[in-house]
Amino acid sequence: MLLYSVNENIWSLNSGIEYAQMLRTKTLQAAGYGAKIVTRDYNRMLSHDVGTLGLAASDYINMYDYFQQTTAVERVEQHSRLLPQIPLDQYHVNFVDGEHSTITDPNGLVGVIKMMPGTVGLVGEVVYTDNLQQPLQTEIWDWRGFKSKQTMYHPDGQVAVENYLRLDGTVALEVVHMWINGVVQPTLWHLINYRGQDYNFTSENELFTFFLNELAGQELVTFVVDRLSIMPAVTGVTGALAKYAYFHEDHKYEGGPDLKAEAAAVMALTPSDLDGIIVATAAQAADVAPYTNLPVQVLPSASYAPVDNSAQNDDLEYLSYVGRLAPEKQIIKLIATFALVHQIAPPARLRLQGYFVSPAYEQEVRDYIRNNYLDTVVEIWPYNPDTTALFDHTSMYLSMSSHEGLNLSVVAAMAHGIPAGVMASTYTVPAVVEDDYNGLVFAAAATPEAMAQQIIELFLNPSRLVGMQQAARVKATGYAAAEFVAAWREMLRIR
Amino acid sequence: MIYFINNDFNYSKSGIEHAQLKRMYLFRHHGEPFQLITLQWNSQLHNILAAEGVTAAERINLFDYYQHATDLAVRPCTLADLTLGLPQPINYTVEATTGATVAHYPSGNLCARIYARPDHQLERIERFDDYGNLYAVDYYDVRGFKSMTQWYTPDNKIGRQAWYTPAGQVVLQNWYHADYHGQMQPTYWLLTDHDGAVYRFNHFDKLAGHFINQLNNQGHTPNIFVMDRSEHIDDALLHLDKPAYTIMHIHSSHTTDSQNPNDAIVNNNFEFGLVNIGAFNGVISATVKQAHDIAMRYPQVKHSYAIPVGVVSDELLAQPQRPINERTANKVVVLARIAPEKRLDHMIRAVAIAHQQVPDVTLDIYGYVNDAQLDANLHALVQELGLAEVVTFKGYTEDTGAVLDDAVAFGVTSEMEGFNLAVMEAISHGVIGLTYDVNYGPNEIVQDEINGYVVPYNDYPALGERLTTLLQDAALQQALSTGAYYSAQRYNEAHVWQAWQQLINDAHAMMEAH
Repeated sequence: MLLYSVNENIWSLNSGIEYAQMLRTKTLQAAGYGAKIVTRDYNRMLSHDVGTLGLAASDYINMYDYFQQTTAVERVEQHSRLLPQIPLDQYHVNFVDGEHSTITDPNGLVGVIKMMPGTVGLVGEVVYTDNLQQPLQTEIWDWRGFKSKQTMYHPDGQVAVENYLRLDGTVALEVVHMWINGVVQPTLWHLINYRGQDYNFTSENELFTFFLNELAGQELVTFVVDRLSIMPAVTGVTGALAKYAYFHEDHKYEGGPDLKAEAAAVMALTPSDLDGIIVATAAQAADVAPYTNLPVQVLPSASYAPVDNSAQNDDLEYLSYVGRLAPEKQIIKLIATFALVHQIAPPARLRLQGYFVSPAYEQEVRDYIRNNYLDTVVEIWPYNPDTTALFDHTSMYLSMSSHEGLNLSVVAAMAHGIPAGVMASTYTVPAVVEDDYNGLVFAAAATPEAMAQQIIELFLNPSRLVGMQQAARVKATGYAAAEFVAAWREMLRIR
Repeated sequence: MIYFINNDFNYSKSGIEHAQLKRMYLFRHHGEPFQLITLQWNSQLHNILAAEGVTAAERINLFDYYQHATDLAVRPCTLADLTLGLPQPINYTVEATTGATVAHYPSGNLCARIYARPDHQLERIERFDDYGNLYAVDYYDVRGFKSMTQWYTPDNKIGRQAWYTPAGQVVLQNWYHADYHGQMQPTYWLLTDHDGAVYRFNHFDKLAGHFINQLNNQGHTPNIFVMDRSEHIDDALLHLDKPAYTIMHIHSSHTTDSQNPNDAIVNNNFEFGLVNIGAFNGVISATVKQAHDIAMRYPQVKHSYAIPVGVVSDELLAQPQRPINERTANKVVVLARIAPEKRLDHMIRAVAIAHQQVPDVTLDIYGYVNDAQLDANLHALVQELGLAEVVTFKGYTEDTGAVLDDAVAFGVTSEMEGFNLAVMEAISHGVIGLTYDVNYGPNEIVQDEINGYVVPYNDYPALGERLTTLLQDAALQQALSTGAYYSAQRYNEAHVWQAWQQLINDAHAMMEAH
């Protein structure tokens, strides 16, 4: 019996969804249950990127790795100057910069070597070109140091064929790019000699369905889909014990009654397609139920172990936020609120940990900080799934996002005994944050002045604050591993 | 190793392929190892050469070599081996318009059009996506593996060709790009060599050069390369890493006007090689006369060998001679294609002259028709000269021995020749030769007044007179026929092998000097 948490990919920078998948997988494994993450997309950096989430090769399975028979390959460091395929008695390899070298012979350019991102001199790609730099073929290396993929081009430079390779160089999967209504795009996924037979698919999702059925055919499995975009591939799976969709986000668009398209599509499914929808809070379950004929269940999206936060006191030190730095997370509003707190309580500082969703938004946020003379009191920390350092000396967790599913970072903060201030309109309220008990709940229309006022008042009342810190810890214990596993076991037993 | 280089080898063979086959027979018979090199990809090569008795060890093809398929047993590979990515079992049907076997997607769209060989081995598969695009054509080797795929562009042109190992690795690719006129042309080659090294070439000749150089580097003994065709390889033989004994073999007249060997424009096929002939170790001609002419015109030639391209087998030489009076009286034959350069009208006019004195003379012409218009013209000429009862067009025959054993004389009126194996075969059957003094071959194989007559070039009245005289004198016929049998000894195995041994000895001497 195996629980597969289904996703498109795991990236170098991840959202709470991947974080939740990682925690779910680890927690179930620790309790002796089979659990893995399964991803669809080709990602030659995957084995590297999963490391940032603390995952090992045995914790996940990727579709391309599976068909390329490369799920269990140990990493070797393949230096670009020691590539057996480049005969150094014939070709010059010319250092250009840290990111690429050229291959030349007396007739001119032969190709370009691009380095593996984040390495010094390890091969990432070899592009064979004509003398005038038009690529003939791009060869892509996996992070683990083997040639994983070849892309060939039509004479006009558009992609013609992508070959996904086995370790012995044979082609496991060829993706053909031809015309659909006069536009070159992938038209055929041709799986070659898989268990002695070829298979054709007209989309990557069709192939993914086939793949999930293959997994389902090997043991008893349950699929939980955490990214709804991939749901269409999963509804076609026939061999699983059960299939569920997990709504990590609000199923409605921000600020309105309209359903998100992907969520609406899932809710419109019938029990023959999907066994149920899972949400993190009872409140969201109640809201989802009227839209669907599917069973809607509440299960925690993650578990947290309580953390001893000995540095914690009742001073107002750091206000912290962790998560994507995106417009819908209302980062500017959060900084504005903090600025007002800082005016009254000058020792207060703000820490933001995460990645900006765009360079433009990063510029906007940094400009705002500079224009308000907050450079010395607002710190922006890079993306890091580990929040231990962030929550050290954090007095309060803040999030101004108005539409969310359950905010896992709030639970993580409470495990450190940190009260949280969140918007009333999210599903984090009241499931995790209860106003004046373990945090502050801000009204949807609350201004930064009003929210700053609530924060200042809290820190002027040490006994109230200590009470909230204790309440936060208590709340977090509800997300302990034992409770998490018990809840999921219950669900897995439903069938 | 001694290598004989050809560009390709097909079922229809020209004189060069015939010469190579006879030479290989000779080498095989004398236990001297050799390999036939061919350069072009040819999915039928195994069968073509097997039918000629050439073993896998005796041949090496550029593509086979890089595809790891030099010594591969034939294995069945038929429709039953295909899955095509379709739900099994596949419901095949036969397409009326093409006769091909076709398979369809569940959508009803065409998935594959499959062509098989008469022995049911797969030949090629046209592959379509579910949107109606022909995206690739797979070609199968007769030995039973997918050898090459042509990948198509969306506008239905070949964009790339890829060659595979029998295990399925892509080891060789050739891209196509539009030229200045918008026509797709083969451009770059990408080769994955046996050691994993990847080479990019911008022309097939560079790939061929890499291959020939690699073969030369492998040998532990001195290599000899005999270049029977120059295309794609003459430049490469000048740029080998390691010394080898390189020979250019001339299989035809080296000039466009064979009667003017010293001053006429050089035959395009030989020009580059002959201009650079001093950088080769030698040149082979099929006749002493051409060997001499080349040495005169190109004094930088290191060795100008005369080695007959034909061999008269010991078995044939041992057969009893057939006297003239056991042959059909006054039977003249010609073994030649119906082609302009053979100038069969000259021969017909010469026979017309003899016919005036020798009413029962007959002329049988054996050879396939290369030129239908010419064939009609020749028939008209026969009618015009009133020779309908004299001249017969017999078509192509495999059984030339029986034809020659029954003939008295044969004629050659060609514009030019490289050797002319038919002349050699004729004298070995005791047939009397009558030929123009034409370069190269007929005027050497036929010896005036010994085994026949050599008349001035283009002088068919002289040929007619000689024929008349001959056919009126039975004793003369027997004397010249006996002379023909004896003169064939010049082309016996021992004699020809001796010529090759001289070349091999020279090669060893040169290599030892290095």
